[in-house]
Amino acid sequence: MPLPPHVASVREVRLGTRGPAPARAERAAAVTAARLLFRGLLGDGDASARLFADGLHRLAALATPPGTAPVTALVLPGAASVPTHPAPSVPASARPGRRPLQGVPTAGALLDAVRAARGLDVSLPRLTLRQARHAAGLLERALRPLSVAAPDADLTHAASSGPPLLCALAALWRAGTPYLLTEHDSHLRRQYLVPGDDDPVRTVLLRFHRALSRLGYESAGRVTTSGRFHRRWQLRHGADPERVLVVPPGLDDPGPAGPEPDAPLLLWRGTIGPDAELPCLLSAFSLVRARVPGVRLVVDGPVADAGYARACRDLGDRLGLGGTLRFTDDPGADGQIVVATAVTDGTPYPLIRSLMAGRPAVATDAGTAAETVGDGGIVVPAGEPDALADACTLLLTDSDLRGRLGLAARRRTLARHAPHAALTAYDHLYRDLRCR
Amino acid sequence: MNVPTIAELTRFAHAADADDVAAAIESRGLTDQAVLRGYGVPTVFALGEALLGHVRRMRWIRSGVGSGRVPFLRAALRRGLLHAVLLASAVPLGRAGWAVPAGVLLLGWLWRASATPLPARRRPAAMPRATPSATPGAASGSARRATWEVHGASSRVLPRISGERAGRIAPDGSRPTAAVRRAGLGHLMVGFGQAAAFVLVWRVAPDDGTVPPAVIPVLLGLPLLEVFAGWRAAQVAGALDACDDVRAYRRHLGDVTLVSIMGLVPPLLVGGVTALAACLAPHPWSGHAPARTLVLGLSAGLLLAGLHGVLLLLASQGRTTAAALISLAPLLLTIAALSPVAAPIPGVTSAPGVTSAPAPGTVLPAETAPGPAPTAASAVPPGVSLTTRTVAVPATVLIGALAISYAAGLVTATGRGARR
Repeated sequence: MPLPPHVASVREVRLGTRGPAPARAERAAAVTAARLLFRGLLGDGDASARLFADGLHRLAALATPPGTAPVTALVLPGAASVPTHPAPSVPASARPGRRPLQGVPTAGALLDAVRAARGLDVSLPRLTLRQARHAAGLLERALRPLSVAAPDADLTHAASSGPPLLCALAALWRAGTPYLLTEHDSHLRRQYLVPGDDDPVRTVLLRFHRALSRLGYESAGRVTTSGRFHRRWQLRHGADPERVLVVPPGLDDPGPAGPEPDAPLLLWRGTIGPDAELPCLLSAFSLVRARVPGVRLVVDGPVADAGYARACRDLGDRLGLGGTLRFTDDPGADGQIVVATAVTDGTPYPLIRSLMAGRPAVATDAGTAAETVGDGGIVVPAGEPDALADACTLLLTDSDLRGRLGLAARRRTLARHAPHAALTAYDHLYRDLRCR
Repeated sequence: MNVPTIAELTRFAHAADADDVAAAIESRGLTDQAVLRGYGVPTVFALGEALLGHVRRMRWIRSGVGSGRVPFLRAALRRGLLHAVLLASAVPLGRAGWAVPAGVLLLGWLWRASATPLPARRRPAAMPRATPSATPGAASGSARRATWEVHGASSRVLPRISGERAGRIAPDGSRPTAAVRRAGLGHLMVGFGQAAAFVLVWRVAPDDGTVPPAVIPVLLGLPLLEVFAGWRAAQVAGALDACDDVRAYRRHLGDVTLVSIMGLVPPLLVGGVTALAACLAPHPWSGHAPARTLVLGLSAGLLLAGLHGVLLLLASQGRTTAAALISLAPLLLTIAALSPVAAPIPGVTSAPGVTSAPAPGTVLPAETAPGPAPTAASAVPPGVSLTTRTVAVPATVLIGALAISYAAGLVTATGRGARR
């Protein structure tokens, strides 16, 4: 992918390299740090949070790359106007430090921490030695970004709460470099939605991500997210409301859509998979057909789950939708109104593009859909085909309302998702953090 | 309104915390407004806390944890029988039969190497696909690629034969780590050492076209040793799943190792004592060459089988380097004992090996006699010509080398690192 002109350099760091075995004193220090970290991540209160931060801080110190300066990560759009000095070049020999938990018998420390936490009435499942080894191995890998050698910079912009946050925290602790934390969606929530076969191991990892996110929110100069939906998660886990800012993603204006199709036509656009909630849409459409003669539905998007797509086609056949239902993957597909039923929590880019083109939407209230649609459409409760059918019928049969909502949708999304708005927001945030 | 199903409620019982439940609820499309309307709680998080508390009180949901038993006997028996069948197949193959069991031993350890976490399903990104050139680097890459391909094939095919699970995949799915490569190489070296020792033991008896008696303990022992290795692996795996304390696990592992070693000491004692008896027995008996050969052969076979068990134990402890060294020790000790600089071994007389179709350079053990060394001419039966220079190995030297390696392996297995 070509780099934007304002990006000075991009460096790929391999975190899997194993350094020399640590000396006895370093190993003892790492064991102590691991114990603090594990005790801290498993607990619930402020004291546990302090233990976690202390342990992570010690590990970052142990993993400091030899002879390297702290880090920058100014790679997001909008950074063009920020650097007032030439971006520092990173020496090619800058190698990561050693793995923070290299050579540390972490399984035993983790088991001790679990027993201690259970003794303090923290609700935790029993962890066997095999599970402890597995979890400790995963934690060891997760902590490796602490060893990243970073170039000198005024500011770190962590693009997520996972590995980028660990790099940013290390730079903060080593060189006092402040950081801006951006979560386009909640990293922690995404971790919760990852299924796991082994409940105790999953619990330990989730506690780690929870503790890391909390520490990240607390230490960040500013926190940004793409919507209020995700902001709730950040606030729940300790982010300061004063420091959390919603910066909707910027999109180029596709221009207004052409004239409406003559026949009543519903357009669903997205990725066809289990999160699409197409059964609800098809059920609603079968109701709409009975009310609006000649109405058709186009389901447009790539297929992520072929089995799911086949089941949806079968459902359409059983509902007798026949030729009124069409599955396609055509970016040029259009409709009188756009229907959004997906329950994904990510930014609904297809919906935003349709709204930006001036098509009104009917969306189910899930994730960031409601705040995305705003006054550019109708939002109905998720999982209620009747309500969805009512809203679609209303818009299909009232062209004036469609027109008004379409104009409002375009006006609102252009203002909310204009690229310059996001650039300006980040420009201000960078300047604010640099001045501190 | 999407109402959680029983299956989801069951999953909630194993949720990490209330936010885990909240995320699952949200993923069904429920928002704060929806839960306020439907459940009367202000937020999804509040509903998650309420649901978690409720479900955790439903103890019947939390039941159903597995028994934790680790099945091992069937796979171990199957593997052992496979070994035995392949070894027994050497019987009808006559004179060339030693190659079959030796190959089986080598492949058996390659098989074990396939259980190490090498990436078996994906070609390493760094592997060149071009035709290798003649440069040393290319040769090294070619060797690595060949090793990887052989390992990949073995890890897929061999476990299927024995009904075991396929080899584990490296976490990053790319190239094997140095430790994994060392382990794989160690297994192969063990297999080579065992195969070489087997060839030496096979040749203890005169090569008359029949299966020598030394093979009998090996044939009988390998299946039993596979069961032993499976039992030990099951004990270790069971302890990993049962213990939530490292100290308790180490205690258990120490007990298992002790039992394992106690089970491996008798073959050493029996093999050593019978070999000694064959040499020190009164002349009329010890001078009876066929009887002495039979006893020495059985002793050598017993020691080789027991050594196989010791190597299995070391390999299961992850000490493949030590296992490889001990596996190669009989061969090296035998060569050292027969080298010109070695001091003469009292009471042992070497005789030239005789074979009608020897492999060039093969080390052939020969029967020992406490009397004067026979000349080459007297050792050659009529009609057999000496076509190749071979080195003869006294059976007692081989037995001594096996016993020393065996004892060293037992000491190593009980030493530091035994509780792994």
